[in-house]
Amino acid sequence: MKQTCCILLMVIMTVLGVGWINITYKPKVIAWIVPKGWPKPTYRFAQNRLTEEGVALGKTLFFDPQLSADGTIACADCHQQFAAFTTYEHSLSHGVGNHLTNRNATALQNLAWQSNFMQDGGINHLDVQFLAPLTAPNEMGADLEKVVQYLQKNSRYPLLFKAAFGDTAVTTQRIGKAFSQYLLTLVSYNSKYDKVMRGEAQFILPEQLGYEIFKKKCVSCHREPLFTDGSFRNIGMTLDSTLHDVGRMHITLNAADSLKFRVPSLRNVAVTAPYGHDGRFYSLYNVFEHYRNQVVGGPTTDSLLRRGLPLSNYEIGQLTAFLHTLTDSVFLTNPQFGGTSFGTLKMGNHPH
Amino acid sequence: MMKYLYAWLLAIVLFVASNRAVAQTNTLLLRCKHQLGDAILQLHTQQYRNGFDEPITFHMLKYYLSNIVLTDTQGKEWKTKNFIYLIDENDSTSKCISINVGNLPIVAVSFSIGVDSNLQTAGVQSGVLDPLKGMFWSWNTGYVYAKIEAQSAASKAPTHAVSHHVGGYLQQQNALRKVQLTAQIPIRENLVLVADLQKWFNSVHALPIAQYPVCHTPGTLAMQLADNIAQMFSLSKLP
Repeated sequence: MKQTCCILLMVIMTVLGVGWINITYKPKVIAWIVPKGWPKPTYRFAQNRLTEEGVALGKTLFFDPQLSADGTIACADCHQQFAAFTTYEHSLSHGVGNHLTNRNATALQNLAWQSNFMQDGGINHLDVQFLAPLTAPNEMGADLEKVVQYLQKNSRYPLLFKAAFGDTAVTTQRIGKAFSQYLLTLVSYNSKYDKVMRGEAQFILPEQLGYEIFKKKCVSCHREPLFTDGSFRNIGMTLDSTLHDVGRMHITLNAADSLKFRVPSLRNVAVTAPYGHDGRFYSLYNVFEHYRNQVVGGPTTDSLLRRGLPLSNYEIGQLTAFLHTLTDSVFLTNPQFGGTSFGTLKMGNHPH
Repeated sequence: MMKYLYAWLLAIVLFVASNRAVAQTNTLLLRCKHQLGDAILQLHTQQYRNGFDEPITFHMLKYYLSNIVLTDTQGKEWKTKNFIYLIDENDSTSKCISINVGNLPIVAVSFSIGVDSNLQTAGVQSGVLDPLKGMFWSWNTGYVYAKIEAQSAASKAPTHAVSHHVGGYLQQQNALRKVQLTAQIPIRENLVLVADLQKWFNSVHALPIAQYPVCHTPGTLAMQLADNIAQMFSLSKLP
């Protein structure tokens, strides 16, 4: 009798235990809100519901240098929060084993509105984006199989996967979704410009004058509110003879796309120097100088820039004032993004 | 007594019915067999000569078979359980696909070499489409539909490599190819899908190794290789 009772009790406890394990998978769903007046995002949130646990996993992966071939470089090393997730003061980013990459790291912000990625648009979905820098030999140089093994054997990752996805299985698909969840939280919409548009602040005179000039001379490519129209254009930069980077043509194989690169967003532009796809412009002034004096008219140069973009010194001054209103200090210092404390401290032990 | 009789009758009826059901579905095996001419492919150890008399030793052969449809003598179509399979010369289980068909013999087989474009634009896939399988381009999103890694003295590429990664789904880069095969004699038993790798280099297009040792991007060469790859296949019955 005692024995039967004991067995019965064990069975009941097992059943309850299994039930309890299932009940514990209740990730906290994050309400992802489109800023007022902004277009509909292109990312399909229905297929990757944002949860606090998923974002936490993505963030942990983003800051983990162990994902790279030699354990030295995390995503966050080339995408630093205080520089709007570009590489601070680096023209070309640095990869493992003293490699230089071919391009200037792009800002990671407002990615939910972007339908393809990289400056040539070669990547067609945010969820697969991580595979490129992770496995490229001149970036993190990792082997995907080894990355999955590392995550499976690690003491804390299986628990993070379980919290985010319900069980401890580590899969490429889950890694991609977790990265996306974190990256989708990086929304910049609290610059002075945004506050002015919301009626919470006012431009000072040079900013206002700069905004008027911007609307006349820049906005056709750098469309508000994202400050990019997402297109690929040749702004008349010469081909670098060491990089041979033809941009969009690399993907489409169409000669009409030669030397075209994605129009970058101007949000946080004041903190993302150097500029240009290969970081050849060290300051905003260099960029303005390019537009007014150095545009090379080739067969694919944008029709809006065939004769360059006339800009007076006065206009450059006012435009610079306006562009500084696009700096979003809330975004650059948001502790939830994880790059404000140990991201900067890590600079010390990585030979940048 | 009548009760037992009814039960007995019911059992007989059920037995006959179940037998019939069994007879109506038939599991057929589709086996992939890789050859060079008449010689069976052996990785690493065997040197072959292609149609241009170039020597070649294979180290890897992988390709995606998708949307496999078998047609029987009455025109009824039978599909595989999964939509897509990754065939890997190095993994014998991958080379054998089971298909439920009816009791009529099969007269035609059709399939595609590659991955449908809608599976290439929807984020990270799982199963045989997991990027872990080594059939995925990360810098220019898309699947490698078929690939060989080999070596040849005719190749001027580093380490005399012959490395063909064939894929591409964008307009004017589309390397997905549909293959339709008919059986000379209707097949009741297991099917063998023979792929002759001689045709990889020389069928619709002449693509000697000396000239084309490497293909690592979508584009013209990948599409030409895809045309050739589609010609490799023929149907035979197990001997």
